[in-house]
Amino acid sequence: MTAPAPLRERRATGYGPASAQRRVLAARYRATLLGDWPTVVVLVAQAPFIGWLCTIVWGSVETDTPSLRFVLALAAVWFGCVNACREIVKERAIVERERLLGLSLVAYVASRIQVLAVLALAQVVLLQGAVEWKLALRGNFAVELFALWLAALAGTGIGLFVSALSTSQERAVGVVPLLLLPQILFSSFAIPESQFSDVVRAVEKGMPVHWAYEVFDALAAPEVGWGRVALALCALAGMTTVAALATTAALVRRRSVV
Amino acid sequence: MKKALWTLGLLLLLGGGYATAAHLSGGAYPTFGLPLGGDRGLLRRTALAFWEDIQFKDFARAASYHAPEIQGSVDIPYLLERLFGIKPEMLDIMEIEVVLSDIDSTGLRARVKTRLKVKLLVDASITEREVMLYFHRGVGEPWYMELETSLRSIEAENGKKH
Repeated sequence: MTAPAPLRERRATGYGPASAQRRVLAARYRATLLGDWPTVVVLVAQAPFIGWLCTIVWGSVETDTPSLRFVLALAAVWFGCVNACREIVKERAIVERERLLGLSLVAYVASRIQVLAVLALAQVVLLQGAVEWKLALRGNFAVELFALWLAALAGTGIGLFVSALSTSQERAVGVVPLLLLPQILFSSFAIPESQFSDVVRAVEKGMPVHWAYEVFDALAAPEVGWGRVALALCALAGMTTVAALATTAALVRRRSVV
Repeated sequence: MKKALWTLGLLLLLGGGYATAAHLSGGAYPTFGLPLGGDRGLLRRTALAFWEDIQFKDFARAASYHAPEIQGSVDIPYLLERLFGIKPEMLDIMEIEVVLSDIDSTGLRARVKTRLKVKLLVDASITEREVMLYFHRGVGEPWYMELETSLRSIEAENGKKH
């Protein structure tokens, strides 16, 4: 068995290439997350629970409506935000210490997204599965599921960004409603779209829920607008990428932590 | 080897979980040809088969889901014309979906809500209709579609054209 390299040597060479770091960091993060399995169970179980609540509400009309599709999109972004909002701030001290040894911030953020993406996938599968149990949603199931997953990933990116900026877990959790309420306010469910001002219309375009809903809306139309679907999916993927880059940028400034 | 066993176990668990969910939901999830879902699953498949027969204009077979004694009186083309306001040959059923399948407390009556996406070939417009199909059965007998549905064969009133 080889002895670990001295600290000075490891500083010089770093932890290795970013891809290798991402693998190690993801494995470590996955083990940490599964170690706290009651929290994982609560996070995963909330998805079918919300789906079940939807079937109770919309079960009275025995069909899906635009508002159900909006709630599903909102729930997906919500899951992503809540999953991620504490995940950097809670171990910021470790991150700062490991940066001294050459930790790649890109690999670190990517490892978080990699693990949280699996969690988000489980959540959206259970959410949509619970709804489909009683209500057949209009549109292609797989594409809708993919849209919900991308929405959850965009929420994850936003949650990680908040986590990177926050100085405590409590503050990070406190900010989440401030991110989610505008998703409702800047939507056609607050006021009719025809009455939107230019500002409201522009802000709405920056909301992941809007784009996830756009996918559902396009798929539910009698004539499926695949162009709209593709555009909305690209917008969600773009938002996830931007949020991940913003998270990495937010981590660049070193923070003195105890 | 251990990792492969874990993966296999996980896949079996996921597959078993899915099959259980598909069965308990009454066939609400795709069953890939497996006879899952019990009576509700059977009704779903019957409703889908009924609409598929109509999609391919096999009206004789579409009538065969009704009780044997009334099969001869079921005028499917006329019923379609009433439902969609257009001759069957000008109707293209594009998509068929079962919204729900429900059996009452006696286990002898059932209803299946279906959603159809249809193209009216007259003007190439695409529209959507929800149609409820009702079924009944005697104890130990197979399910039969009831005519007390939106597809019931009713004579037009005197002096009116349908």
